[in-house]
Amino acid sequence: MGGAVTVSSELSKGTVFHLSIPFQKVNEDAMTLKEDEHTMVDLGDVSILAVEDNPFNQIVLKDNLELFSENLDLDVVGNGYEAIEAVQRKQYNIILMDIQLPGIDGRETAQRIQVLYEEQENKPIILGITAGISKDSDADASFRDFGFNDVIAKPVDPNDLINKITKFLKTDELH
Amino acid sequence: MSYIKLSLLETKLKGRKDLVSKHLELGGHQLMVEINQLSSAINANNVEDAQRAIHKLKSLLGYFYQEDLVALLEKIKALLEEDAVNEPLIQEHFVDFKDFTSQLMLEMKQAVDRYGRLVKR
Repeated sequence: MGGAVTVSSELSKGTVFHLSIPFQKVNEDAMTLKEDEHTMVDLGDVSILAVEDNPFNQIVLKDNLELFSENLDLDVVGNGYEAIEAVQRKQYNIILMDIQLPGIDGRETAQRIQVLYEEQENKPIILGITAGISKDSDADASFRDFGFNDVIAKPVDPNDLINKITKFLKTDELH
Repeated sequence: MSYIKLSLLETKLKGRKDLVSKHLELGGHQLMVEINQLSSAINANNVEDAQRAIHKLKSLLGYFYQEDLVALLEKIKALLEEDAVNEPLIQEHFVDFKDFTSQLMLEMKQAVDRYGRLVKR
């Protein structure tokens, strides 16, 4: 640990032990982040559409969001066609889009949704969900070309998911 | 040897034992479905379907922190991308994969039973 122990002793008087251990100063920012992990987020005014064909992943997404928000306006559809229909029926703030979907994939679905919103200011934030990126890497620029605002790595980590959503809430990019 | 990493799953789900139990139960079921899909695809020599099943399995196993099984799937995937010369090796890896996942699914089921009792209390 890089510390030291020294002893000084004098006959008939006693012995003094010195113990020194170097510690790094606690990173207060890191501690704050840990506390934030348990913070609930009010997503009551945020409508979310999840596009995911795998029933297990649908449930995981819903549960992960509910870990952070009791009020949740979440709709789930299983493919790109249903997603396109859904966005024409309802205004969503956030779309969580799996990339590998049956029929039209997530990229094409995102592109088609962007076309629908071409003339509008209130575009939804589209977050791609894919196993094709590592957790630490930045979102692949090609995803942005398809209209994704950001990408979340699979398997989805609840903290990562909520951080990406709140990032857009904080920057007022939601409409 | 134990496959299941309950503490990591519990941490991810913020100690919510009900969710841990639910995800283990549903995940175990989904695992079985996807393994059957992969098995059918390999037996029919349908590379495209096999790749699709592998993609889903990787995501599912990744959720349960099964990096070793994901690596084994990567091996099968790489062999599938080659040609039929490696068919015996694909089968060999797939048999290993099924053995390991059977053990994992058994552990998941046992954990669900334990969590089930905890949640009911």
